[in-house]
Amino acid sequence: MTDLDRLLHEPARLVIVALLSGLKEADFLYLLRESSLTKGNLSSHLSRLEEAGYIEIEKTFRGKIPLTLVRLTKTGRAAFRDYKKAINSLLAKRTA
Amino acid sequence: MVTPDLKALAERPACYWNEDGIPELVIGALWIFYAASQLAGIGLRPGLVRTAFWIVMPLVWMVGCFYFTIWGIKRIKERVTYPRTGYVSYLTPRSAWAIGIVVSVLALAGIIILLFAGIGIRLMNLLPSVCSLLLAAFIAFLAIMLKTPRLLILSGAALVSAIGMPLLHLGENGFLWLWLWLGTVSAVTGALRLRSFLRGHPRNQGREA
Repeated sequence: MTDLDRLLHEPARLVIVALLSGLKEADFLYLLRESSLTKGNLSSHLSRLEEAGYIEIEKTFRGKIPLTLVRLTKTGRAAFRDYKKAINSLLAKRTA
Repeated sequence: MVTPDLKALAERPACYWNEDGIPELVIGALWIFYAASQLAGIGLRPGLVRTAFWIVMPLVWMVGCFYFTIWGIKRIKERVTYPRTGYVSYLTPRSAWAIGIVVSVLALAGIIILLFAGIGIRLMNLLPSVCSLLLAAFIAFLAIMLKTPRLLILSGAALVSAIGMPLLHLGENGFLWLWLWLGTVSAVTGALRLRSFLRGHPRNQGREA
């Protein structure tokens, strides 16, 4: 259990990072819809991930509409990869 | 604590690409355009126009296939899908991967043609049928991988044409009818999916926080 990244070992944040892992970037609306979190909840989790350097948030505009782009950093991708390895080895130990 | 299914979550963006039916609609339209242009080319009288047509048409088709499809789908999605359900940008596949896929497809096509040409010219007439069968299997595989059951309709249509073409004695023109038929089915299923997507996701449903 000690090997697991505590920041990622929270279901909502794990969902966000897992969704972003298959993408270059996504906007707030996509993450909101796919994660089924509330706007406030999603914002707070994104802030935590940004503070840890796992994601980058870019606030921009498309025409007159505000657009919040979120992308996984190299650190974030590596952390997610390590987390998957750690959880898989834990599960393997448990089933063995 | 419930641990989310990470594999399923990582696959969701790939499924999102097909959620609105736009790719099927655009690809279907492109197949119809291709078949229609080929039919028009066959109808031309021998001469300068016909020669020019057969020089220009493959180039138009190649550009359309490799450039317009992706470009067109993205532009339509920017106007229709992203304002409704969110914007995503996909990771570009590694160039080695992309080259590998193109080479594999070309090699497979080459092997099939050589195999049929070697067996005999009569069997060349069966080529559209065999390709249709392979296409049906490939689309069924895509339907499973992308968790998009409606693609099975297109796969079924390819299977029907694989069986139907030899019965109708379409011969080497079978390819034209195959693209026309599959293009129509793809465009119709795409359009129906797009209609239900638009109904299910009104434009100002949830724009930004």
